[in-house]
Amino acid sequence: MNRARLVVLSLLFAAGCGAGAAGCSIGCPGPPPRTDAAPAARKMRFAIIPKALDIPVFNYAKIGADRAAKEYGDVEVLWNAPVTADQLKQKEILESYITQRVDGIAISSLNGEFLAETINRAMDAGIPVITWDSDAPTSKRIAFYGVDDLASGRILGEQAIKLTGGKGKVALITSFGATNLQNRLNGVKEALAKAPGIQIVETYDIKEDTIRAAEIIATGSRRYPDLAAWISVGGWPVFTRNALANIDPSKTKVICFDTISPALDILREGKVQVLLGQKYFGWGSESVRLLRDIKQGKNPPSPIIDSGVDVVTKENVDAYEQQWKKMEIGK
Amino acid sequence: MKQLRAIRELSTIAILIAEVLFFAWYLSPEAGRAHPFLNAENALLILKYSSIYGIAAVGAAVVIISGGIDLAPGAVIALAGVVTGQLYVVDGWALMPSLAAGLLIGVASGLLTSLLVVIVKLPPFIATLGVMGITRGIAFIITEGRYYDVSGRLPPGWRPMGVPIDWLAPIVMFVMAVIFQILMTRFQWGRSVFSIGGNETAALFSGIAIGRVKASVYVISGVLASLAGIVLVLVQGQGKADLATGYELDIIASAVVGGASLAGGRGSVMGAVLGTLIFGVLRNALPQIPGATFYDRLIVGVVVIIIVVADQLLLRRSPKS
Amino acid sequence: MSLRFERIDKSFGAVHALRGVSFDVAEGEAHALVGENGAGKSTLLKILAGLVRADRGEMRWQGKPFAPSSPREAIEHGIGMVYQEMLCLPNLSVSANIFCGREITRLGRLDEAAMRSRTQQVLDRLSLKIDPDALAESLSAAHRQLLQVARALAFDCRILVLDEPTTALTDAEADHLFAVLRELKKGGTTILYVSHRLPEVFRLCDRITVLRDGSLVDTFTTAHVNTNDIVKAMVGRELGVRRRPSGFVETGSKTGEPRLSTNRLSRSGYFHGVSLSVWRGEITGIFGLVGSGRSELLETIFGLHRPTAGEICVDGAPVTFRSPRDAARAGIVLVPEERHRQSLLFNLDLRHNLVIPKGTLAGNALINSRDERRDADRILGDWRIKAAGIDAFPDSLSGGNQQKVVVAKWMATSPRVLLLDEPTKGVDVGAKFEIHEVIRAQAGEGLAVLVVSSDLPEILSLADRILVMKEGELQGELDGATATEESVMRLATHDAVSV
Repeated sequence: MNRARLVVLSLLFAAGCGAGAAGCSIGCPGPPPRTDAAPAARKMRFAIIPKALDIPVFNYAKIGADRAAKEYGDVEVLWNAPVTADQLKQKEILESYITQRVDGIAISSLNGEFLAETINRAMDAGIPVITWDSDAPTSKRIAFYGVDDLASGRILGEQAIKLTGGKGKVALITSFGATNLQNRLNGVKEALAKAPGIQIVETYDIKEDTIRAAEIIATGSRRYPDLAAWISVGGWPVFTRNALANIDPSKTKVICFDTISPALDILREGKVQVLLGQKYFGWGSESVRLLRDIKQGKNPPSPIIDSGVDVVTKENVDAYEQQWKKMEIGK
Repeated sequence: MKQLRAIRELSTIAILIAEVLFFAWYLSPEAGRAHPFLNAENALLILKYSSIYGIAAVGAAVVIISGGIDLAPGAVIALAGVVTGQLYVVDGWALMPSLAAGLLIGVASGLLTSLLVVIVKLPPFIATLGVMGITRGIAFIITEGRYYDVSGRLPPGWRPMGVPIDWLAPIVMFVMAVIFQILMTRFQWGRSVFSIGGNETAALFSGIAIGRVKASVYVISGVLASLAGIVLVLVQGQGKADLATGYELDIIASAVVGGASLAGGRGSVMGAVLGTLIFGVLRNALPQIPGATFYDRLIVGVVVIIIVVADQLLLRRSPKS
Repeated sequence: MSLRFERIDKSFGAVHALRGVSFDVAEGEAHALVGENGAGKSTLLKILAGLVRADRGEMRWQGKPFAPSSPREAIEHGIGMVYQEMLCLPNLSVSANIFCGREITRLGRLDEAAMRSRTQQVLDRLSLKIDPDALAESLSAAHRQLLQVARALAFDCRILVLDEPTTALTDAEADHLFAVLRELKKGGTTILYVSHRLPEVFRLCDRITVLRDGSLVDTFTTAHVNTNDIVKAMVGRELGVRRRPSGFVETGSKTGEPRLSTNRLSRSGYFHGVSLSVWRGEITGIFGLVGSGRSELLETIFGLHRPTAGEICVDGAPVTFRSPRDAARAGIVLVPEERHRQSLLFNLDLRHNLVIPKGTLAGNALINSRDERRDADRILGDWRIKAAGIDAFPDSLSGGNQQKVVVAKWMATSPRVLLLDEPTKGVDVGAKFEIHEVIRAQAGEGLAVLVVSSDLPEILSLADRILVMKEGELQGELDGATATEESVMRLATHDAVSV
């Protein structure tokens, strides 16, 4: 190889290394957190990171965030996530936003433990971090906005007891590997434990794959033909129309998390009796608001902000839907 | 016409520099703020994550120059990571032997590919497609969907040979690039690789040991992929069966953007590394543009076409087939 | 005047390929264009075919200025080109090959029937017994060449331009072609015939235009000149084309073992029971018509194929070659028939091409650039290879110079046995002469040479002994000093020869 080329390329690489060594070693504190002394024209860049781009619930978070940004006028939303749920890739994305010196980060962690160290690095570099939907409680994050998973799980369980009269076999659906889902599951089991007539026959792992919902429910129904209820801590059974097609509502009740379309229609059809709605738009809009407040020096009063859940049944589904439409299109 | 080969790499460098300058300008912040893109930490991050592709791209370039192709790197990266993870985290081996075992995976997959291509005489596309499936499959069988938390077991603040872990990846990539660039241009073996890629029949007729050289390129590709795999595991801290899914296309694209012709007989190892950096910069800079997240794949595809077309135009200046 | 070239000038970078060439081709005549490669014939043809644009000057076709910008345009004006390289699609049928790019369609769909019948017409016209549906790759080399002619004829062409059409044809097949060409001429088709084979030129053509180093020498009327006149015009010097014996055989003697010998060597389907010996300092020639298995024989000796029976011996000891590398290591080297496909590396420069066999066989891991460049420079000089330098690429060389590169690179390995397969196919007279000289000189110093050729004059001028093969078997042996074309042909065809 041409010696000149080798020299040039080595110099380029050395220059890069030199700049890095002279500048910052890893974890060196960056510029101090900004106060609002800057001119009004400058926009704040907030990175909002859902679990993955292919999980439909999070689209509403994006809508909420974009709308909030537009309303405030001084916020720019950078929406990014791995294409499918991948902890390592989410960590990569988080890392890149740190080196890219964004003004704030709001993240729904796939694995809170795994991300804790990186979140701390962001905090140490002066970038405020909050979590939403799925927390990273062991990290230095400033606040978490989302449902109290344990409490919502309990609500699911209590609703199930009510509908089944406290007796019968129930099957659970979850997706292993996500902390928040695990907490909801624990809440369900806690509530169900209070009804001795209820027996949990199996807990199914749907691996965040909505398409498998139909498969799982079919398999489960075949195996346990006299199921009293299906309880799902995530909305997979109601994200498509065919998953619950073969359920007989008079025999088997369905209590499910999430109210994303077509869940409400399925509720109206009677295939599912209770839906727990999260604050989907809120994930986005509240994150923006919280980060903005933090940048202006107003930290939230408590690190855990319970967004609350909406319990939707046949009685209030219409009112719920109206509210929804308003938030989707804008107030 | 050595000038032409020099031009090939120079054009890749020029594209990289142009790209960096473009994003430095486009993403320049308003007054008083640190530059989100053009800072040392970010540069290191780009290097860190590009290196995984880069190490494997060195192997890909060698294979492509020889007239072949390798679709297995992504799967080999995963299996090497899984084996290292299994031995280190679950079976309690020491770190070095676990890493060595991971490397052996690359040797094994390379040998298998060689067997299929040289002795069974399968077309490389088919052979490596098969090896890809086998390696990925074995990775899933071993892990059964779990992952190994390697970072948990590593001593905190661990610095292999005194180097912080984040620097490890780019250094390995650079060392491999230099080693193989020299092998390809200053050694008889490298010239044989070019010859086989240029005209295998003529190379055979000229007394070159075709079988041995072809086998060697696939083993090299396998070893480098497994090296990328163990580096990835150390950097990311986890060994999983679905690591590096789809990486092979990015790796091949990097080699092509760096000057390798899929027809064989042309290309450069350094160019392939530069190619990975070009894509690495793109992957890092695009998410900083609001709304650009979803355009990532589209832009990468367009960029590849533009670069290859520009390269062809440059080639047409010389009267070459 | 049917076709006229007026002061055509063309340069490729530093190479001035055509210097103001002017001549004309009369309507209905058969006109030959001869000259060494590098004389400019190929360039002129490329300009005519629309592949290349002249820098200066003008072409006139049927009185009107003619400057085709693409081969299609040239075809549409009635210029039918028949090329030296087999531009043929092996996996398609004969009729598909003939109509490639110019298919007959009906309402947008391929009209297979029309194409087949037209193909049959053309084949009949050429008296070729080929099935229009046969795959091109199943045809013999000779038939594939004739397929080229058929392709040009399938469309009304006013001028048929042939570039070395008989390189792969036997005399019988060449006769056939000439008969066809004569018929076409009678029908008013003009023929422009480019060839190195002067006997053919003299048989067919009315006038001969000679180019040398890009300039026009003169246009001769065939009836008024003889071969020597033309050769002198082409080369600028008088060449003795007579046979010269290799010094070694005269002074030395055949003692001990032959350098290379085969004992009842066979490869089923190709050749059978071939026993021959090649001695140090002797040039052994193998003559045979296409299909006689000569190339396969050389390739088997070179280790490319495994023989199904018999053995190969070097210095009397049996050897097995598993690859050309083995053979080359034992000092047996092959200059193959198709240098483009089998010998030249177009992605590497001349220095690499020249140095690779020597380098790869020597077994050194590291490349010594300085030594290699020096060796390559020396080879270019010694062999008088016309090239821009060792950094040039093989495609910038003429056919003759390319062939010199191939022979030179093997000679650089100091072989013991030199196998040559059609060593001067597509090579100009000057280069041919030089290559022959080198072969003789090397034989004189002890090299054992086995040369296969279908060029009878070449065999007669080079070989000390002539072996004749027919349909895979050795028919017999003739002493080089006393053999004649007739005696050789007789053995090759087993019939009373009618030349």
